Amino acid sequence: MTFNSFEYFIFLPVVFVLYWFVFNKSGKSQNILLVLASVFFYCWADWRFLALVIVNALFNYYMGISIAGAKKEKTQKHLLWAGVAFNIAILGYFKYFNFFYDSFVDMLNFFGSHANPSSLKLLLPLGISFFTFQTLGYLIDIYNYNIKPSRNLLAFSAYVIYFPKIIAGPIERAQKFLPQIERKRTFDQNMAIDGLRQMLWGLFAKIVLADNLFPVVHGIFSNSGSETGSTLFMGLILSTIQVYFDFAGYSNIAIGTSKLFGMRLMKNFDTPFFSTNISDFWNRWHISLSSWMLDYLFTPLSFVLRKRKKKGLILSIMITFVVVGFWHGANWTFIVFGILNGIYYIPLILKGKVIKSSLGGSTKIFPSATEFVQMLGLFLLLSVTIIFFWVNNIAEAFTYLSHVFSPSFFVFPDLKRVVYIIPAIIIFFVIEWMTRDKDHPLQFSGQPVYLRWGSYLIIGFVVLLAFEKDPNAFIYLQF
Amino acid sequence: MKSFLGKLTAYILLLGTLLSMYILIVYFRPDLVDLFYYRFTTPKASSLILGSSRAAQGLKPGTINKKLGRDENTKIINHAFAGGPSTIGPNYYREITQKLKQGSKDGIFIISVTPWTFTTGTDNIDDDSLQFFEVKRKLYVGNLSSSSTNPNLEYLWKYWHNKFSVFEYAFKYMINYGGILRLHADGWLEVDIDMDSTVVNQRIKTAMAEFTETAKHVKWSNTRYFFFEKIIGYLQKRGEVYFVRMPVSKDMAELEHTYFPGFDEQMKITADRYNIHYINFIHESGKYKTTDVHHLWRESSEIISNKLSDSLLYYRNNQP
Repeated sequence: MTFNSFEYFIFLPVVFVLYWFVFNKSGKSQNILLVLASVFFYCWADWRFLALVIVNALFNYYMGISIAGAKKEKTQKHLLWAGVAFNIAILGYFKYFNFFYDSFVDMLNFFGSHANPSSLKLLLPLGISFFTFQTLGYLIDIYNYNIKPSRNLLAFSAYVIYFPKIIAGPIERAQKFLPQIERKRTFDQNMAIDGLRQMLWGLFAKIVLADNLFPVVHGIFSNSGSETGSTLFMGLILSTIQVYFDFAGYSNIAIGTSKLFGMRLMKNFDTPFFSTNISDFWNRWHISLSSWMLDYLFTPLSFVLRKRKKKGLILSIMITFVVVGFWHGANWTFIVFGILNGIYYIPLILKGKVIKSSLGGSTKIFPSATEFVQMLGLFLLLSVTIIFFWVNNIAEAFTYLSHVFSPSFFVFPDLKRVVYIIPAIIIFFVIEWMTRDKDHPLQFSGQPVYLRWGSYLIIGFVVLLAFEKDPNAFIYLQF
Repeated sequence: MKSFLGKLTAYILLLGTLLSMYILIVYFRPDLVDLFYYRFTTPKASSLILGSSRAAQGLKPGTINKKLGRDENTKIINHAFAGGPSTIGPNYYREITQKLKQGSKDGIFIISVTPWTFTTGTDNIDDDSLQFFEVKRKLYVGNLSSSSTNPNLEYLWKYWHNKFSVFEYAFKYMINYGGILRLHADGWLEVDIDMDSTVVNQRIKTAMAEFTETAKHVKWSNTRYFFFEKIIGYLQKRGEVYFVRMPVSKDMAELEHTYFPGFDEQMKITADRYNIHYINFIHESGKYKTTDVHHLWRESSEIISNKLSDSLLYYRNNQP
């Protein structure tokens, strides 16, 4: 079951009604329902790894208590490392075993040995990267005395398996989530309505835009050998936008769903394409991952390497982004994705300008010409990295790019296949720009009722028309 | 909570109203859904034109009905689809039994035959009908509980992939876009596309390359032929059956002759066995304008439909 499936729109109202009308006696009963519903949700998507999620929850629950309970700092440290090692080992085994094995075999073959690639192909447990990073953060936070361990197994289990975020995030912080889940939730109409609006916007981004862009982008990438440079360039741009619509759409549905249950999840996207530099971009793109990396990897690393000054900072950035890339998938393509993003940071570090732009929060009607050029330039640079999401290997990406910059780049691209989707994309970004200071674009209280309801109806109607009985999967589910 | 539920209900009702209005448009203009939906909304008929896209585009029921003097009750409709969905097999057989009026006796059934509709992939070693493309993919033909309901909600839910088609049509209409495909109430698929010779030649070139490639990966299917005979047997109890082989481009006729040299002979043998007339236009290939490698242009369709009607009249008037 995914957020854009027919089943979900049966499941969600049923859980909603049970949550607020049957299991509303106490926080405990609400959590019982959330855990049961989440188990059902997870099993519907893929039941085979439920045991892994349960083990993750139990292990980290008791490890958290043990770390906090240890008298000596040394013991705490050992326990933390044990916890980190356990989580990384599980993730490494399921997500990276094949990659390391096959890379090792490739290396042996390169040096003349004749080794065979692994015949053991491990299945990737759904959401493993998300829930593992979540619980890793939980253990580190306890060790750093940022939070106290949860002593409520039910609430902690709900934290791990909570269905709106189990399969593709946001990678929620215990600090914000646990206090919410450990108390009884009371119904907040404004929050619930806002949740529905956010879901609607997410569905629009996913079902109407991302799913209609997907065949276009897929078509261009599949026939890249016979497309003109200009069409390939168009594919490059659209593939970046498609990934954004897909994942930001998913995140909005997740956050909106959670609001229906009186729980706030962290913002995951904040109009990232209005960023004017790479640092700004990563403050607004997949925020739950980038802030996780900043807090638990980049900051400690840059502290350790602080004596090397700018070189230390560059090294920290590069390591962090290699991990970011590797987090996405066990493939060299993702590592290159990370390295490129890391490289984009270097000029900023050298100039000492690793700062957040204030453009996103400004109320200017139009960006200045310089800002616009910066946004566009950054977008193009990012497109060169997003290409690695769409290809099978690095060589394919470079072949694609070399075809883009060929004489046929100056031929008019084949716009027929995007004639309807381009206006929708433009409208989307104009609305995003106008509402960039909001949590999501449909947060326009204060406007006349006919305008608000008219918008909800038009968007809802368009979503209904674009709804597919057999929905397209979300790209980030594979991570 | 009450207020929340009230607002939510109002929203759902308004959305439902919008959707109903959209379906109402589709009710009055089923041709705006896609190329074939209309066929599943028209009433059952006693006479049918059957086959693939060559027949869908090339045979005009209006012309044939006029010539044969068929009235509203006995009129023939075009119920041919395309190579994939209406390839001869279990699905198309089911579809035919569903579209035919119960108890009809005086029907005319024109089966357009092409070698391609008797083939299956070379990887289908056992010639198993479960491995047929249209069966595996559960295509719409033969997979609906009704083929004559307007609106056909089952089709709209399961097979209407581009639900923005009504808006697309309106947009194309507004900008006077030339490339319109229109399905008529009688089932004729009218294709109004650019007929500039350079464009047509390019289409022929592309399609020829595709068919040449396809021909290498398909083989004659005895299972399809079994269903062909089953369809003949079923239809002969309800009227007269005719085979017709449509004219195509010269290139396509040569290609078919190369890859399926015994096809005409096979059809003749079958026709003789069932006492059916085989009206073969394949030798006239290249004489009529086609939109691509094998689909007749609308004006050629009119000529062929007239010629076919003449043959039908002749055979009907000269029955032993």
